[in-house]
This record gives sequence, C-alpha cells and structure tokens, in this order.
Amino acid sequence: VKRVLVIDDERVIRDLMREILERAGHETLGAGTAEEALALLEDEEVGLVVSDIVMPGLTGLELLEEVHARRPDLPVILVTGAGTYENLSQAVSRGADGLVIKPFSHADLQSAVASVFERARLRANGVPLSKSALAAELETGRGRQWDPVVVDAALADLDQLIHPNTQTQEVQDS
Amino acid sequence: MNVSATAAAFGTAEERMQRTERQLIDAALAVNEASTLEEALEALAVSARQLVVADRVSILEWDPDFGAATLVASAGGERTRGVRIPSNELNSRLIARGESFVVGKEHIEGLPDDVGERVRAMGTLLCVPLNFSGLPTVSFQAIWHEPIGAQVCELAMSKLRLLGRLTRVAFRTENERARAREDARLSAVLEAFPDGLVVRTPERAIVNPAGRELLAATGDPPLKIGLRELDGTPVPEDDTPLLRAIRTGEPQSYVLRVTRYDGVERIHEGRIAPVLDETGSVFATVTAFRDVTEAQEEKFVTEQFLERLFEALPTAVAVVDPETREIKSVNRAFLELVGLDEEHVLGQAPPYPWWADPTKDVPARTEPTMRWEWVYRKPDGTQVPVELVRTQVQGTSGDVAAIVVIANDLSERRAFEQRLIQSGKLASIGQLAAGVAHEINNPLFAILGLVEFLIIDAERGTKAFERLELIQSTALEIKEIVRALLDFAREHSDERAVISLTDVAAQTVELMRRTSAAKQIEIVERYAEAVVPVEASANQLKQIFVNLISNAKQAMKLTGGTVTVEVGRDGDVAWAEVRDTGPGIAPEVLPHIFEPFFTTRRDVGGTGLGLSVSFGIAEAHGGSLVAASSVGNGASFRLRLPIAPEGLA
Repeated sequence: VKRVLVIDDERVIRDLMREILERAGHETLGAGTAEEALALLEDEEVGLVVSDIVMPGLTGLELLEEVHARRPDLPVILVTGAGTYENLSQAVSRGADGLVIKPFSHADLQSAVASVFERARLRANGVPLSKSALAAELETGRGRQWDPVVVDAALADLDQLIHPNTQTQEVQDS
Repeated sequence: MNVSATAAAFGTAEERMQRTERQLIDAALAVNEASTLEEALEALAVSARQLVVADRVSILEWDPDFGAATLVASAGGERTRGVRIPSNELNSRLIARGESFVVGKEHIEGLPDDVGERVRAMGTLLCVPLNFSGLPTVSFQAIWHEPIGAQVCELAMSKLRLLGRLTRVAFRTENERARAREDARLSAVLEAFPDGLVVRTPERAIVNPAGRELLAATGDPPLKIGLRELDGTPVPEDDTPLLRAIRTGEPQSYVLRVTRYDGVERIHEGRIAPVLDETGSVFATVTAFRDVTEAQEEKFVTEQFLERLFEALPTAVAVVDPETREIKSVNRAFLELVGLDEEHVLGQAPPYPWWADPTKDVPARTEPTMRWEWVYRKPDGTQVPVELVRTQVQGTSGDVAAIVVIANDLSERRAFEQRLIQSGKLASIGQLAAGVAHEINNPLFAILGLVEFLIIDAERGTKAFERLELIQSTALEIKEIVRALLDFAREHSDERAVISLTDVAAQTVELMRRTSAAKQIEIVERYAEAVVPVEASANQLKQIFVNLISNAKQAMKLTGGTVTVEVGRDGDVAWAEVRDTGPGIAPEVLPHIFEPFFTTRRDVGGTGLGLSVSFGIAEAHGGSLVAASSVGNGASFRLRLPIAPEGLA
C-alpha cells in the first residue's frame, strides 16, 4: 500500500479528500502548504501526490515541478478549483499525471487515483503506454461532463507536445 | 501797295506760306469748336478776313433759286446778319457753278441803283462760293476799300477756296452740334458717375468709363452680353431686364451673372430706368450697375450650401409656422422618417398624420428650446420612437419667425443602448466569473463531498436521505452555474485563424453525438459548401454550436425531434443555422433570450449564460446571432459571420 500525500491549504477540503481516499483503502498524509509537503517527502514514503493548484506560497504547479525534479517517478495529480483552459494546459505542459476539477464526486477522485496507480503498475511491468496519462485522464474527464471544448483544446495541446507535426483533428478522432 | 512793299510787310514767301497754313488750321479748328452754326459761321468769317487781310469778309447764304442772298455772318463791318442782298442772273449762275469772281460792272447790272452805287464805291469786291454738302449754298464776300492788284486778288481767292474746302471737313450740321453738346453734358455726368452707366437710344449706347471697366470693354461695346441667373440658368434673350423696362416703361432691378467682353463672368446688380417721351413711349434707357460678385458669391454660396446641407442632413428637420404650426419645409431625412411624400407633409397642421397618438398634443411651449420624446407612426403602421428638439428662430424684428423641429430616430439608439447594456453585462460578468469560480468551488466541493458521506451513511428511503439528495442536487446546480460562468470568462482560444465554418460545425456535431446521445433526437447536417472560410477562433465557434445544439436538444427532451445544422454562404456572409422541431420560443420570451442569466430551464439546470456567451462571441467576430421562432414551429438560430477576405490559409 502506497501512501497518498494530500496537499490543500484548507483543512476541511484536505481532510475531506483524505477521508475519500481512505474509504477507498488508501493510506494518506496531509500537508497545508507545498513547502510542508516537500519537507514531508524527505522523510516519508509516498507513492502519489494529490495537490491543490491555488495555494499561498508555492502553487500546486510549482510543487509539481519541484517533485519531478527530486523524484521523477512520483506521480502527481493536480486538483483545480476551476477547469479553465489555463489550468488544463499548465497541467499538461508541466507533466501532471492527472487532473481533478472541483467540485468532484468521491468516485471522481478515487478513480483518478486508481488509474494513476494502475498506469504506474503497468509501467513498472514494462507495458508501453500509447497515450500520455493525462490524455487518458482528459478522455475520462469528458465522460464526467467536463467542458468538451476545453477538453478538446487541451487534447490538441497535448498532441502538439507529443507529436509536434500532426494535426489536431487526429487526436480528436483517435 | 506794290508787291515788294507787301513782301516786306509779310516776310519771305516761306514765312508767308507757314503763316497761311497756321491760319488755315486755326480757322478750321475755330469753326469746328464753335458750338452753334451761327458761331461757326462767325468764326469762319473772322478767319477768312485775317487770312486775306480784307477790310471786311461776309458770308452770304444764297436762296435756293439764287435770286438773292442773305448775310449770315460778317467780320470787319457794321453790316448785320439777316440783310438781304439782291443779285443778278450772272452772279447766281457763277455761284451755282462754284466759280469765284471779282465784282465788275457787269455783276451789278440790273441791280437797284443804291446797290450799284455802293459796289462802285468799293475798291475791290471778291465773291468765292462755298459748297457744303447738306447745307445751303454760301459764299465769301471779301471787300477792300482800296483797289488791289490782280495778283493779290487771285491769291486771296485761292486762300478763300482753300479755307472753304478745309472748313467743309470740319463743318457739322446744327443737329450734330446739338447732339455733341448733349453728349458732352452727358459725358461729364457719365464720367463723374462712380458706378457703371449705360445710356441707350435705339441708335446707340453710351457707356461711361466705370461701366467700360466693369464690362471689360474698350470703347462703346455692342452691348449684347450673356446674362444668366445666379443659379446659372440663362436669361431668355426676349426677357432681359432691359426689354422688360422698355416693354413696361417701369424701372427694373436685377442681379445677374454677366459675361464680360473678356469672357469673365461676374455678378452685376443694376437698375434700368426707361426714359419716356411726351407720348409716354420709351425712347431711351439709363442703366446703372455695379459689380457685386464677391458679396453675392459669398451670399449665394452660403445660401446654396445651407440649402444643400438642410437637404443632406441625416437628421430629420421640419420648419413650422409659429402661428398656424403648419409645416413649411422639411428635408429628405424627415420624409424618410415619417414615410410620406412631400405633398402629404407640407402644409399639414396638428395633429400631424405621423403622430402615433393624434389625441395627444405636444407639450405647451414654455422655453425657446424644448426637448421631449414622442412616437411617430409610418403609414405602414411601424412605430418610431423619436426625440424631438424644438427651437425658435428669431426674425429680424425679434419676433419668432419660424419653429425648427429636429426629430431624432431613437430606434437605432435604443437598439444600440440595448446592445451596450448587453455587452456591459457580459463584460462585467466575465470579469466577475473568473474571480468568483475558485471561491465558490472550494466550499461547494466541501458541501458536496460531505453530503456524499452522509448519503452513503444514510438509510435509503428515509426523509433524511431524500433531504440529503436534495442538498446534493441543489449544490450540483451551483456547480453548473459556476461552470457556465467559467465558460464565459474563458481566457483561452481567442487566437483567430482562417477556418471553415463547415468544419467547425461538423466537428461540433460529431462531438455532441459522442458526448450525449439522446435516442429520440436526430441531428441532421446540411452543408452547402465544404469550405466556408471565416477568420475566427475555432474553439469559440464550437462553443456557439455546442450551446445551440444543447439548447435544441433540451427543447426536444420530452418530445424528441430533429436538430438541423446547416452551413452556407451568401455573398460575403458566412452563415450557420441550428433549428429544432421543438415547441418553439414564446413571443414574450424571445426578446430576452440573449440576456445573461435569462433561462426558462432553471429547474433543469439551465444557467442562462449559453446564449449570451454565443451572442458575445458572434459580436466579437463582427457577426451576429439572431433567433427566430413561433410557438409550435420550433426555434431557429442563425449565426452570420463575415467571409474571410483572403480565403482559407
């Protein structure tokens, strides 16, 4: 069982997310700021980071970069207060492994965490992934009534990152 | 008196000749300058006497039958004019033939004794006839008390004949003299007159120097000049002010364009006075005129300019009589505003036919300038909201000469204001949304997340369970509103490119089919052209289609039906239409559907932002989004965008 580090500056939200994950059988740790989280990562064994984006001090996006710099294999799921294009595109370009948009249901968060662990397991077993983790996440997001225009735009951006010379449309149709 | 003595007395032959010439010229000038015939003859007699150095020189006018002569002028003697001098047949014959002669005894034959006595007492008497055409025959009679030599006699005769010929050239009839005198007087007046003056008689016209200058004429011109009215229309040749003055005998004033003799056109102001004879008919005219081009051009240009300006003003203007309130004048814009011809407008008094409510009169006049709002009605029944501004125009005596009413069509302004409010609402909501979304989503997530725990723990079927579900669904409604707000505030994808409207529509339809397939609803696509180029943000246009198709589906959720998505091109306008076969939009709802937060589906999760967002996007692209519907016939939304000028990139 790998522990999930949950970072949100609001305790109510943080505790809520932790309880949702604990109910799905995950062990959790909590941190109120990105700095606190980075300190915890030094000492604790953590298998996944779930972090809010908008926080005082380091933002979730900055935390993502810090984590990747220290532990490239540690997956990060970002939680955003608004599913704006900017959030999605920032998450895509900085290499987030998942994205959850508030307000989300228990299942949304639980499945996002589960799929990240599942991909990590596949990767560990040497199974190649055709699509980026986020692309898959975005496709599931569509099923969760994410704004289709935003999703399409983010997918297009993602595709440009992966295959810089191909057209947008191919991703949409694939 | 011998010749040498004469020679000594009169100088050398050359000197004599020069003196004679001078005397002859002086004589001719004296005759010419005389203002009456009488004076001219006297001058001629004096000159002749000096010329031939006679004791006396008389001029005789012969009777037509040459039987006798009358003394008409005399120099050097007491004989007075009018004296009758009898003559004989010989003398008469010689005079009639123009022959000069020295009077001898045969010339006095048959004459009364006293006449013969007198002639015989004279030393020498010469007779030299003068034949002036147009005048009675006259002759010189030169008398010397002492007898003179034959040579001197011949010389004297030659001199007198020469003088006669010279003066004949200079001689003028009494009529001519009288006219010259008149002319001289007139000339003086004409010369002194500062304005142009023309005096016309049937025979000729005299123009003063000022007039010649004004007409750019040298000498007395033929005075047939081009005349045009100030607006450029030619004055008919048979109806010039001059001819009117002659016809009517009344003075005529005029201001006309006159083509001068140098071809330059100027504006002259003048007055023509006819001169009447005792029978009351016009025998002459006097025209006084001056050049008023500068002043007139300015006035004319101003008048014409103002008239054109009045006519061309895009604002409706009516001029109203202050007493009767009859319409005196209106411009084209006014006629367009009220939708009537000039004939149905001019002369109208209140209630004017274009008032929407004829029973209501305008507010009572209280101030020189008033402003109020009113409603006009065109003949086709269209009501036009107008703003009226009424201004009094002061006459020269300070009274109210006219009332000018300016009518501003408020329809466009109202529509513009409406759009401005719309845009303002949209903009402020956009700014608000981005900031608010985060703030709402955190607590909302807390509510939803916690409620979900409670629902999991609660016992199904209990009142508490129902209430928790109600809390959850209500909170999810908030979530939808926030999401819609964020759509609105979306910062991305304003990057425009030349894309095909058909592609955007097709892609969105495909997306809609994938994301939410409602079984009883069919989406039909009709694309007239594969490529309809527009310069736009593909994502924003997709959003319009998503909104319109979602609405159409929503409208037919219960009934099922068909959503038709059509794209086409109409000249330089690209258009797309999304229509459904649903129940349609109620007429009272239709004007509000683009207003933010206006929704008829609050109970089913409508946020009321989709159409305002779409409207805003269409406008931002220089296009429009128009809704049409009637109850029972479904609704249709037509998006219009300008065709991209350079086609597809």
